[in-house]
Amino acid sequence: MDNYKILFAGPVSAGKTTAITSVCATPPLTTEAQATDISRDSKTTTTVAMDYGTMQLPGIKTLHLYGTPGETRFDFMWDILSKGSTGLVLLIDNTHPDPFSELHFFLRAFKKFIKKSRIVIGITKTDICVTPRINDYQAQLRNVLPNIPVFSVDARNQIDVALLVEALMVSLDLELAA
Amino acid sequence: MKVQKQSNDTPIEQSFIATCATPQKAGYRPLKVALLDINERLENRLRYFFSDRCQGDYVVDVDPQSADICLIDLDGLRGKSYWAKHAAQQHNCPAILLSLHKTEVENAKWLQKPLQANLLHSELEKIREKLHLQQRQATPTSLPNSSAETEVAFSGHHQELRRKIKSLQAVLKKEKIRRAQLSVYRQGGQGDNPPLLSEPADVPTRQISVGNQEIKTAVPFIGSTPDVDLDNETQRAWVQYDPKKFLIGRVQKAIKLAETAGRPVSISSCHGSITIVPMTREVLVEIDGQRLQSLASQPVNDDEYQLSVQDSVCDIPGQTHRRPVEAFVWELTLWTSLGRIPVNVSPNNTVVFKHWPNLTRLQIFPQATRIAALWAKQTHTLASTAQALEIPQRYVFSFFSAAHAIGLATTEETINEEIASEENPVKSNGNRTLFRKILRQLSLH
Repeated sequence: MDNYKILFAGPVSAGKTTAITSVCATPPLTTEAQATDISRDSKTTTTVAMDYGTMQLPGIKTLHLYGTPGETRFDFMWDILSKGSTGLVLLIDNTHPDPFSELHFFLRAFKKFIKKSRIVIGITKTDICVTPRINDYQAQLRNVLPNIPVFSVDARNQIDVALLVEALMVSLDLELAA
Repeated sequence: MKVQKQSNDTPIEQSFIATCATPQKAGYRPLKVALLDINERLENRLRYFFSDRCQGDYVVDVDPQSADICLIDLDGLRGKSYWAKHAAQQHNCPAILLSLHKTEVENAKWLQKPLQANLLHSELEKIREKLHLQQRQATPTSLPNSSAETEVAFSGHHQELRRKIKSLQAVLKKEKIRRAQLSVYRQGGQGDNPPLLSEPADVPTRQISVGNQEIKTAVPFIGSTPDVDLDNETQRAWVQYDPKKFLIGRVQKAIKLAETAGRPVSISSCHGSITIVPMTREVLVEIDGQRLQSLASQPVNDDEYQLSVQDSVCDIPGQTHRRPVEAFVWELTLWTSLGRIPVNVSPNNTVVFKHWPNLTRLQIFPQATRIAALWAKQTHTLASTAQALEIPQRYVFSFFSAAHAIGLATTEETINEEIASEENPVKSNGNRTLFRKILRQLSLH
């Protein structure tokens, strides 16, 4: 059985919808609505329920990609979408004033899920804001989640997102093989 | 849930796919693509794209004169002048122009940035068709007489065969998906599996390869050294190299010096200079990529490269390429190691892996993610890694060498050596102190 459900999570404007769109076979199903709160400053629309798309890997692997809403008022969707997921792609916006607090917030929010699954982290918008660097994120994670893939990612770039998903999949494969 | 460690293809399917994946054997030639004013980040992605998604159908060529296709970034400093020069001189070499904003051009295809892989692939394929057609038109329709004509005709025949194979391959993949779904339905589904919101078999899927095939274009980075018996000292020596005897050794020495001095350090040679800028963690390289690749693999003479601490950085636009230190060291190490390991590293000692490299910004090659994932999860020696993943040793050695060069991987005995070298000065200091005490005692008496 080679169908996998992958969850994309992270704060508002981290690039979850963009990342899913980059790697999906067809335009993904989205639930964009006009932003009415703080997310209004960074973009005009925001995900209110979920994004969904599929991605095909060589062999017969089909990845079902689900994007969560970034806003905390929709956090009930995080638990709903987590059910049955095999891995988590967490995207963090490097231009946020305190990206580490965002990182730890989402690691806490998905703590139960991460315990029984695998996670990869993509740091977006590193071309706009160079710091913190990837090594700084690795230092933050050293005592919490050592040795997980943390990559700089341009959510618009198919290869960047595909490589992040690939890292998750090979980690899962080894996990399952062990 | 089924683990897909290796391909699930049947032997027939495997041989079928292998036939498709090795078109070179039938006289098929990959098209050479010159990348003009393309930044290093995009270049890395394109190299990966050519080798992975395009399965080696295209290779990067540093010389635009010998290239089949030119890819020019018009937003680069020299992009427009490159295009003007190209348009004036090389009418027969098709060009693809890239820019953020729409640009009207004649005799070339324009693609908007950020680059969409499927659009680029489709344009490259169109150019391939066009070039092939031109070749056929230039060849008489009668039976080929000369060897060159035979090659062209054979290439044409092969192109058609290849197209048929590709379409059959697509059908085969669809069939595999359908069978997989059928087996799911027969099993009654599993609770852990996601709901299928649409029928995947009906969705025109975009293939994203995970790069688990050895491809010809990976050879410059992983070499072609065959597996050796690592318990045999003679054979082990074949897969070892001394970084100090290569350009990478000089570069690493310069990086240390630059970090200590907090000032730029230049490595000068008759080939050009390489300047390490510690403040921005960048390297300014005056030597072009192909030459650098060639220099990286050759042992250096003592007086070939001179290190000097600089007061300021001399960045001449158009002559120097700026690259992040980590990406530069990673790539230079791959070119140097070519599937070998540093001489002081024992392949039978456990690898200590600090953390995953930032692979989206480094030169990626097949098996890199699998090796990193394995080391992140379990402790392994270099020898056992190749066995566990069932891959040639050179992939593991290349990955280790590159990760070792940027400080992300080492082996246990290397750590012990470092600890020992740190302890030695302490011991000698202690002896010196004791010796001083004795002298003081003696002088007092």
